[in-house]
Amino acid sequence: MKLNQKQSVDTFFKNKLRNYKHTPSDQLWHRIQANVANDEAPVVQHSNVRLRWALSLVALIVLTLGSTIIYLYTPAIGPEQSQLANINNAIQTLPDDILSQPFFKETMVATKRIKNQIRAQYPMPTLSNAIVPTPRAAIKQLPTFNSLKTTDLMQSKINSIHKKVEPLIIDKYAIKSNEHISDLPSAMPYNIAFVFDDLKSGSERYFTAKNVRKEKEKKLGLKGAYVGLETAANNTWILATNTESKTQARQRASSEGVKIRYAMSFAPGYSFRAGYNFNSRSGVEAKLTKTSILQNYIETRTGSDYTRNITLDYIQLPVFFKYKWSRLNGLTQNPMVINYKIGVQYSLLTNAVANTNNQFVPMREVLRKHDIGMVMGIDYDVFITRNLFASAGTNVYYGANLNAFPYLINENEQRANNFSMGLNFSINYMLR
Amino acid sequence: MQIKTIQGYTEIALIEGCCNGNRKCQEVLYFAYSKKMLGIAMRYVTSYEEAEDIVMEGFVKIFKNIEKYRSDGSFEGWMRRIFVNTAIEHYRKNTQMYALIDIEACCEPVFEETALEHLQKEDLLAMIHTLSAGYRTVFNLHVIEGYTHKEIGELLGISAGTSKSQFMRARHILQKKIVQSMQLPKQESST
Repeated sequence: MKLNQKQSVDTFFKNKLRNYKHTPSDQLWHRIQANVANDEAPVVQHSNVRLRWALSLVALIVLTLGSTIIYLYTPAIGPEQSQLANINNAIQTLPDDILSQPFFKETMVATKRIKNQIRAQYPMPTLSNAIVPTPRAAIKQLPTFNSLKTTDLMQSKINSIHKKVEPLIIDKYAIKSNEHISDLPSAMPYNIAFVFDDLKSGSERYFTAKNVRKEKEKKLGLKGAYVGLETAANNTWILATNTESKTQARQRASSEGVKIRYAMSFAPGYSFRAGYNFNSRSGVEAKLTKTSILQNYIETRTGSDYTRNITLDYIQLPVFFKYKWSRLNGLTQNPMVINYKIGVQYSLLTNAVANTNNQFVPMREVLRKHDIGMVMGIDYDVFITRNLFASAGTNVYYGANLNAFPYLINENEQRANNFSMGLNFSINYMLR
Repeated sequence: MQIKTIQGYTEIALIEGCCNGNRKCQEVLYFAYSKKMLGIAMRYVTSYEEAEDIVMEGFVKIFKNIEKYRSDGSFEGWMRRIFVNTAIEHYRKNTQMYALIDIEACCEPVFEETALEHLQKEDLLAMIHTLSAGYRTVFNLHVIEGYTHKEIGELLGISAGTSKSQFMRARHILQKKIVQSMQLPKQESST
């Protein structure tokens, strides 16, 4: 009886469950397709990752240096060359009694002890702002002005002042009018005063560093909102993090007879962008971008070639903080700006397809739809008019883990990250 | 001889298509067998997600290795073996097999034969899921798949005796579950 009952239990379970069926989820087929299409990862191996990063870094440095050189060597307004000649002419034509006055007003750097001497000799109402309590620190600022050549006349005047108020350390700066104020460096100690002559009107103008910044901001006029349209060309990769070592990966590839040749992948990007400049030094910007992350490679397996193209379509929303270098262009008298950008980017995966020898497999269901990544870039803005400006630059993006499931690609590759770097160009309009 | 067709494809044509990497053939094959193969996987693991992982791995193996199939046995049987092996691999990755040492042979639960008729497939599956991974695997392999204890021992890396004792323990637990489910707790001395 008992033995029969045991057998009946076995038979019962066998009969009931031998052909038991259960409906799988809709996503399962997509996962299987993705695995079959990507049984070797559509990704870069360790060594390649390092190479890409090195190339990216080199490209970034080259672009940074290039844009900085362009920025620095574009002629800017200042008492140089022809303008310096104008100043010189103006000085030469001034009557002697004016020449005897301290119309070459200087930035004066002195100790407190000398402050009274200066006050006695040059009773200027704003002079108290001109005194820097730490002369040595302030002296370091002096080379900033070295590009401003002085005439012999200027120098002799300065020398005479030096003699009178020794050991004063005096820098020299004369300008034709305050329209050149924007040429002053931005990073000035607060308590250095700049005293300028307006040679045209003959009146004196006094500026503290704070005044100078204010005047400069006014002259550049960068504060405000702007909108623009951008296009970009990005070199894209899907990077995998392997759990196995490089040697292991090589051995596995060798034992499985697999060879992968990666191809460069370029994807266009189209953006609407809007931003707000707090001033000539900083601002924020957001974009709405339609673009793709591509990965192309040819896999040789058991003697056959498989051409594989992975296409991930995204809507992206990057938000940047921008640090700016701004100055007026000497040729156009409009601003030119270098923007260093860093921020975060949200990406929505709208479509994903793996194409293997022209067989298309949808992959969206097996990948993460939402991605948060880090973005960086440099833009070089050139104002064509006071409102319209063109911007060209570079951008780098590194996304979070793309895999929605562990072991999506294979058990040795558990993470995949989107990576892109590229060039962008935009036309923008300042709303002011 | 009757030729088996699936959605208008003969089985041979489907296999050949899959050998050539034809996506449509793979899809037809998947939809023809996925429910049954998920049914197999669900007997070996307790969570639906794990079962789907096994099915995914199994189909990937089949699509990659389908050219190795020889027509000397049924194709479904070949597929079934792959899924069972995949489930065993999954089990070996995630669990350790322990030898059974405390079989309770003294008190066998007994139930009325008609009680079995009221149990549904899902009830039986739920009972199997209450077993530990080792018991469950041995029970499935022996009762449902028809493997001998020697074969099970080789598959799982244990002795045939361990397999047998694990199986007896698993069946004992299932009998108790059946009794509990029927609310007929009769006890009979086994001596």
